[in-house]
Amino acid sequence: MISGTAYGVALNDREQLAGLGEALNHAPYGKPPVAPILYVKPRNCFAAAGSAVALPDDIAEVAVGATIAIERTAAGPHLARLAIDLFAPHASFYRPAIAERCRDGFLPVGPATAVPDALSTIEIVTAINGAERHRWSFARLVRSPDTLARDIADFMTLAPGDILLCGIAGDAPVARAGDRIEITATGFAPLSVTLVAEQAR
Amino acid sequence: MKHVRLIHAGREQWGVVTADEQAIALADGTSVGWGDITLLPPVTPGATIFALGLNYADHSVELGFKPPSQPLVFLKGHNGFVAHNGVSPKPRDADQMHPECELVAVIGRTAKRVSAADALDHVAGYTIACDYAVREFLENYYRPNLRVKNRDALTPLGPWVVDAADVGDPQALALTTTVNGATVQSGSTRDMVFPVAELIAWLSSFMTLSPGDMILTGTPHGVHFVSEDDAVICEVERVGRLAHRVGLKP
Repeated sequence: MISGTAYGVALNDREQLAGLGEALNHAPYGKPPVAPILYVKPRNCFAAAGSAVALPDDIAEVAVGATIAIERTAAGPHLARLAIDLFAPHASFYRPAIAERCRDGFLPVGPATAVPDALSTIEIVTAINGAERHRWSFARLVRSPDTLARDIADFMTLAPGDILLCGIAGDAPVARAGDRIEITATGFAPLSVTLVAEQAR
Repeated sequence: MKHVRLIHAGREQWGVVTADEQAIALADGTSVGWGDITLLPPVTPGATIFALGLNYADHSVELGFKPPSQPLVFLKGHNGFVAHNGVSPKPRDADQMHPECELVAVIGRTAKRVSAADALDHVAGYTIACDYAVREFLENYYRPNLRVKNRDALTPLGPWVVDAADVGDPQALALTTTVNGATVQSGSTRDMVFPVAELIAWLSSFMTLSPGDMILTGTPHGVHFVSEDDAVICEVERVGRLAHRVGLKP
């Protein structure tokens, strides 16, 4: 499904960054971020469209980070996939959120398709159990997909097969075991998964 | 046995270094000399790369931190890897680039919720990483941030993966780094805050580890900034000796 590394970008939502306000100037941060804040979603997270994602018993609610991933290719233009960055909500961005973000199945991704023309202002809608719960636009991104690509290339190279999740809304809705999640955006097939309680150990 | 990843006859493959270390046995039964291959970093495509911060108490103190109460794990891509005898380019806009010699555990079988007591049964072997940090780019967001720890070609890896059985106790190995022959790091894996078995137990308590995944287990005391053309050698007892040269980013 994904042959390379999946990278995400934290605090790339202008509204979320504004909401943190003065806190960014105090410990443990000291100052607002300068470069893109990247994280990795490792391969155990990858899940196909339609998957049943098991919610571990220590995570009652997951944030549903509906976004678009840009995929590098060896030749030809980049591709795009709808993606859901699932994570345990966390208030601190000081240390890498491995236990929060890297659970099995916590990155459902849809099939690759052409990058939409209006990527920088695309709207992504999240429905949970059939009801719209969240809607956001890439116009909210601190760094647009093009700017991200340029600023990341300053210190590392994305290889063919790597994907980059362009950002997560700070107000991403939460979901629980039993919920059906569907995200949609113009130009993509809807991406849906269900959350199930992990089998008792 | 020592397993190397290489290019020979136009094809990527794995080989096994012969006992006298003079040749490499290939899967097709033939044997080739070192001059007939290009060595690659011994990594499985797609593998998850875990790395540890502050996993040696003396290095934590050196950086002004208390040793952590749970493992400080971060993840890396594959863009950083460079093979034995490769070149690691120093950025032009930074001078605080320091080598970090690390024991790397390579997962050999799927691990989910394994106990520390059983954890080492899930290790296929060990290799060596020199996981550079470039301190000018430190920011306090998901620290250590990728701009510090995931730069292109700043993670020499290899030269090979040694079978776990040939290494024995992973917590009794000397590690050293030399720069132009002078020792800048000298430690022992016995001083890890979280030993290999506990790292595997902790990670597998909440995620599944798969064959080929690698854990870069952290580095001991000794922060030394390198310069262009420095010759750097990281050595881990019973595993091997990983050499590279410092270049300059174009």
